[in-house]
Amino acid sequence: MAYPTGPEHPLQCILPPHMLQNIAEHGTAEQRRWAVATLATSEQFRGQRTASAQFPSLAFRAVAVGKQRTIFNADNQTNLPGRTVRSEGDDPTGDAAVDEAYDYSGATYDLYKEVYERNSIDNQGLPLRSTVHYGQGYDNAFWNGQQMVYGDGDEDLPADDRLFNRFTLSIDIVGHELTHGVTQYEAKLVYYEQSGAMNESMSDVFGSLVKQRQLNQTAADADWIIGQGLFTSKVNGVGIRSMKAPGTAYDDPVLGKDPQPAHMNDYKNIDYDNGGVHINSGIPNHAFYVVARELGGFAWEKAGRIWYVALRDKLQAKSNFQDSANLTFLVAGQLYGAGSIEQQAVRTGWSEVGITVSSGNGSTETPDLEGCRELLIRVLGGSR
Amino acid sequence: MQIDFERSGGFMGLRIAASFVLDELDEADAEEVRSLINASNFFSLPARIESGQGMDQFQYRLTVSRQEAFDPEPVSHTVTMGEASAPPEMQMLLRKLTVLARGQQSR
Ligand SMILES: [Zn+2]
Repeated sequence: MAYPTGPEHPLQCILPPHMLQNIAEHGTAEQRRWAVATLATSEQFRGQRTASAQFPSLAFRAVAVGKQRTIFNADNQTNLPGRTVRSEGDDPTGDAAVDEAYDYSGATYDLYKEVYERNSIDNQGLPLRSTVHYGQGYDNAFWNGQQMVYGDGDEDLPADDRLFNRFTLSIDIVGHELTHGVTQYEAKLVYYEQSGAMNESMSDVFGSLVKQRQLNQTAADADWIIGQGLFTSKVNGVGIRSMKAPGTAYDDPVLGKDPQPAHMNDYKNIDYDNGGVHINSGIPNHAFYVVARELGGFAWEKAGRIWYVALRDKLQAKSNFQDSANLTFLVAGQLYGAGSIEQQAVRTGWSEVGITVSSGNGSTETPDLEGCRELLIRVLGGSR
Repeated sequence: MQIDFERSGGFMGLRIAASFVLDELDEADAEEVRSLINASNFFSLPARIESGQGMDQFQYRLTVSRQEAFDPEPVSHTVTMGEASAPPEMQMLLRKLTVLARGQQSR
């Protein structure tokens, strides 16, 4: 979403609602989008009713469509999307992969909707499309820019030789893939080196939060494992990644050892995996875990909200770990107050992985009026 | 002919790497690999094929080195590509090499 960014951001630039409403009703398409986004954002901060309820004329924004899931079966081929096997509201099919993709994408939609007031991947009710039974011996799940795709692991091998189960088995994998869609529509983190590892980490964070919410677990109860259950009993490991203790998820004679670092001292400069996006994500993953641990309670409530607002409004395509630390700190200050325990927890989280937050106090008490004025001129003047 | 194969990325971020000397493979495997290398025009492919949109897709790096009777000196070429961007014959080659690499790893 093309929110204005930087110091002139709407969060720091609260216009009177009537003025925003006026822009939303009479502005250009670009101005309307900005005004509605600002209304939605400020309304969230003040815990008020939805902008569309306050301003009936904005009802076009509150897309009527809710959850809209479609599950496709690729029949172990690689053509996408495949044939439709379950649509929204249909009964379970009895095919575990189909029903898991349906239920878990629903649980992910619900986290975004019920906790963060986000309507699907694009916040405009984008239908959720998932293809299962993709390829043969396909030990992977991915987001291709339009939809989620899940392989069956190594179903093509004799049962005794299999290392992986189907990739819909873990709810956090589904949350992970769907979150790649959210990131694509928001911060658009470039999938390379640190910004790519942030992209990966965001997917692990919200994937894990979907699971924790489904299980009603506090940060202390949760296992913070990504992909628990994906390995068969042949593999010595509890899952693919550990946010609590990166680098310890598996250690196996065939698969090797979990390569994730938990600290900047162990950051891996590598030329594969797009510069280690699935490896160095251990660092921001662990930072998030520490924030959640420090705050206690349900991690999706405070830690998750800070990360979500940062992803939606602050992070940019090339944000690295340091930027992400500074921006989550800033958001924590805006949401909970400068010097609040929430903001301190964010500082602690990044500090434990070797990153020192450097920024102002992140207070909403002192909006950048100059930036605000500039923004108004730009928006109302319609200049680019 | 020697082949150095690497698959990285994917949701799991598990790196698989394997090297094969074609003459040391089973004859049927060697023949299949050789014909897929030819069919994909491997030595004419660019060094890097961009992956485009998408996350958690596999990344591949493939190096083929050869010195056949008709080569005056050794020839070596490396191609890096994402799974969705590889041409169809290359997809088949990558799949074959993945199976061979998995076999080599679990030995
Ligand atoms: Zn991912």
